[in-house]
Amino acid sequence: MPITLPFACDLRHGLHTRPASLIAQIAEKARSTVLVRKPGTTGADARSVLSVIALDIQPGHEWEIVVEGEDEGQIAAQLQALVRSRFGEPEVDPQPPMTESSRLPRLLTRLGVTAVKGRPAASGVAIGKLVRLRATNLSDLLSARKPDGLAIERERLIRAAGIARIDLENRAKRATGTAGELLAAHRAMLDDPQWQMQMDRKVAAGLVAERAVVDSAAAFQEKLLAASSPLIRERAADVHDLAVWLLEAMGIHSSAQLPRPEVPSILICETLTAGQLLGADLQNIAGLVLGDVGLTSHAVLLARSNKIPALVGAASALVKESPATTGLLDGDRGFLATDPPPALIRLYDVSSKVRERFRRSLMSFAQRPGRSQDGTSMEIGANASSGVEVQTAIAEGADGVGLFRTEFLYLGRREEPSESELTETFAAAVRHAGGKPLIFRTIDIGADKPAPFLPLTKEENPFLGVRGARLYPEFVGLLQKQLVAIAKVAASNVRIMAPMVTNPAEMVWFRDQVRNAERAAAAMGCPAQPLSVGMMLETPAAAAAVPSFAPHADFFSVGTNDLAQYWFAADRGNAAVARLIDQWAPSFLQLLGVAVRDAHAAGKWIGLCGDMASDPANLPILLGLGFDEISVAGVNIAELKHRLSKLSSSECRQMIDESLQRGGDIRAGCRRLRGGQTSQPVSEDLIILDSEAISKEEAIREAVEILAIAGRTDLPGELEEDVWTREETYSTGLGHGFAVPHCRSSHITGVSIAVGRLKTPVEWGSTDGQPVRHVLLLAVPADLDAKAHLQVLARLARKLMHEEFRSSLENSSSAADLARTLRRELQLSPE
Amino acid sequence: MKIVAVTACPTGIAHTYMAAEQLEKAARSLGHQIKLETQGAMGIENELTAADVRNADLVIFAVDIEVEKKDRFEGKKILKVGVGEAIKNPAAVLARAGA
Repeated sequence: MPITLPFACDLRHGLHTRPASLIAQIAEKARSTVLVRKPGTTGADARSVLSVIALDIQPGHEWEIVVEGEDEGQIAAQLQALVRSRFGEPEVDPQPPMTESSRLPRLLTRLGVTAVKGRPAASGVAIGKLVRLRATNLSDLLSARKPDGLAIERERLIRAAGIARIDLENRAKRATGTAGELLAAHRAMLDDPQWQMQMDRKVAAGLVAERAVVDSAAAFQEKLLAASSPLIRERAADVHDLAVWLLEAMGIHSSAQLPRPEVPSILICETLTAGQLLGADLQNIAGLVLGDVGLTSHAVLLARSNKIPALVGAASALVKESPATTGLLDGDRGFLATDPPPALIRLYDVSSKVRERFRRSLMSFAQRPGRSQDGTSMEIGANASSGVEVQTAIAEGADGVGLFRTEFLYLGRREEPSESELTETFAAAVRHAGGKPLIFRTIDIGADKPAPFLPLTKEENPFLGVRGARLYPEFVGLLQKQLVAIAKVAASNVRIMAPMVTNPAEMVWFRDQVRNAERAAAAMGCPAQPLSVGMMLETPAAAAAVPSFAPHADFFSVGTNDLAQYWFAADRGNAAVARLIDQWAPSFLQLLGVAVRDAHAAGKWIGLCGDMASDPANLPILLGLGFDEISVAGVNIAELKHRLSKLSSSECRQMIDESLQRGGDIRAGCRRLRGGQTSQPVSEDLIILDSEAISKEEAIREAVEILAIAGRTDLPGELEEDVWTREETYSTGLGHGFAVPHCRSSHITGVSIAVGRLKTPVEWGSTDGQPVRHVLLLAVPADLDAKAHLQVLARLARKLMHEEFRSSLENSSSAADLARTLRRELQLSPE
Repeated sequence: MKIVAVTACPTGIAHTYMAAEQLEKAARSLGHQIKLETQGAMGIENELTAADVRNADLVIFAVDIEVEKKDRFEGKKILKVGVGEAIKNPAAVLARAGA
């Protein structure tokens, strides 16, 4: 009896590639046949991702899965659970909405710039030569050839698929991030059964193999392009790539390769496939202008991951109508200025100088230890797994290495690493740490992270099996070798910690092992002072019982990834349950709070090295919970220290207490605290006293950039536009060398006053005809009716009519001084 | 002399208050009494009452937009100038009004 599972599609983007491939993964393993269909239609083989997405199942559509065969009950249950989990997708779209003003910025008209409008696709600015590229037609690549018979043509197809498979696998292994995911997705599409069947039918019908590839691609593309969802239409480009990979494997070289320009260039073409970008040398590709492709197309995703500014929907105008040879592309404001005049280039120069200045001021944070606004210190460490990574982390301002993973020396190895290899790696780490704290975590492997040289028993449930410290008693030699290697190179800053500890006896034993290793190292002529020995808190049993471990551990470090999956009893690698893991859940935060409290009561240091530390949004929580250290990966450390310096630890603690006691929304609490400082209208970081702006346009751009850097606007382009809209009714130059450009805008987070003192006074159209030296840009949220804030601006407007006030601003000698003056005169609370 | 005045500009953030401050300053230095209503982003502030208007010798509007609750001023002679003018040269505005 076939089982039919009816569903209503509640996925934001419909049944697109990712959910379809999760269904295919289950269907491939099934002995039953699995169909996906809209009720009353024949539907598609669930193993064929391409056919399933071509069904065009959109949000709100009814659809069903039909399972029939010997294991139908089990398979239907798995599929049911998968769909119920929404395929592990979040309920809201994580990408912020983009605005798409249909007109060009007013600024461009003012500067007499010719430009083409496009949709912003990848952030950033590019200046370069325009290079126009024609889209390739697959059929053009084929030469006329007679078929060599069915068997030979079939053989050609199979061989090409094999070569392409290996090629894509190798490329996927070498690539990282988005590129790696895409290559793996293409690799999976190669095995799509419908695609293979389609090609086979074509050769059976007498076509040559390469023609079968091109025609099959065309057939699939036609189906995909007919879908109502742009997300699915975009997959047509992947089918194109798939055909190109196969043709290349047959020795037919597509002329689709991107040019390698000698100078920075902006590439213009209607469509670009992932394959073209993946194989290209992107060094001089400064920007990208595409035709009518979606913001989720692979070309756009790759542009973003390679930090190449990009626009979509603008290519045809540039190819057909514009003879321009150079361009300036703004991937945030959404335009390409053709043959940009010097004034525009200078304006963008001003922007980048402001950003550069900010980067430099952040660097000063990097070299100071992490400290909150109210003086609580919290070390910001980094995770590392090699000497080079330690070196980079320290150079970027890490206060230490909170987690040095040693298992990478072992994973995937056929034989154990030699003692000298271990010693060399550890010595490099110690050398690069330069005296800053360095925590080596001893080998953390198990049946889930296997090392071929270790005879591990296969386990039913490896995450609950022999891993981390549980492995050591059986492989004492392995542990000793590592501990001795560390003891030999250890200095006073080096610490050691054990993973996956469950009961105190394990720590007692582990300490003894470390002492043995120290004696062995001393016997080899490397006497060192006793190493500090700590443990990770990864099992709830340990995290909830810190006092019983404290006599045996010198310090603690929370591994939130494992701790959370054990706490919520949900495998983080299983999409169907991973969403149950919520590191913001009150129960989990309470667990962390208890661990910190108990560690401190015992006088012990406690850090946190899991992924939770690497999300800057969590900073208020981790500071409030009282961690002595957080160790992060892939985060700008200087920026994190800058954020930390703006947070008050007592406010954070209070926020957590309140949320936990009264069940308040901790996410909202965090956002509020992050915005705490920025809600002040006047702030030192909004003041520039040596502005090099030489025009009204540049001065306004500079003020807007300052607001953007301070995190007060997410869409600086829109804010700038609002300022210019106001400015064009009549000039905001009020005489005496002062101007107050201002606006009410939906793109500012709180009432803000940005100040620029210009080295060269500029013409502003003021009533007294005098050029302007002081620019005070006032921005007010459009929906704000908080009187107190508006009163500040009214007060400022009145004050500016008085000479004493103006001269006190003119005579301020530093940004801090000017901020103080403004705060005093506007009756704001001092910071 | 008793003067009443209204200031109002399109965004109601800056110029409304600058003009008010300028007119107040200039009137006081000439020894006049002045009451100033601002119609800005915060709405009407320091609102002129019927009595204020009745007793006033002079009425000045320094505005770039329509004045709200205009009926209060019916029958009064009003000098209307732009906000910019009041900011730039408040003394001249007062002189034109007859102060």
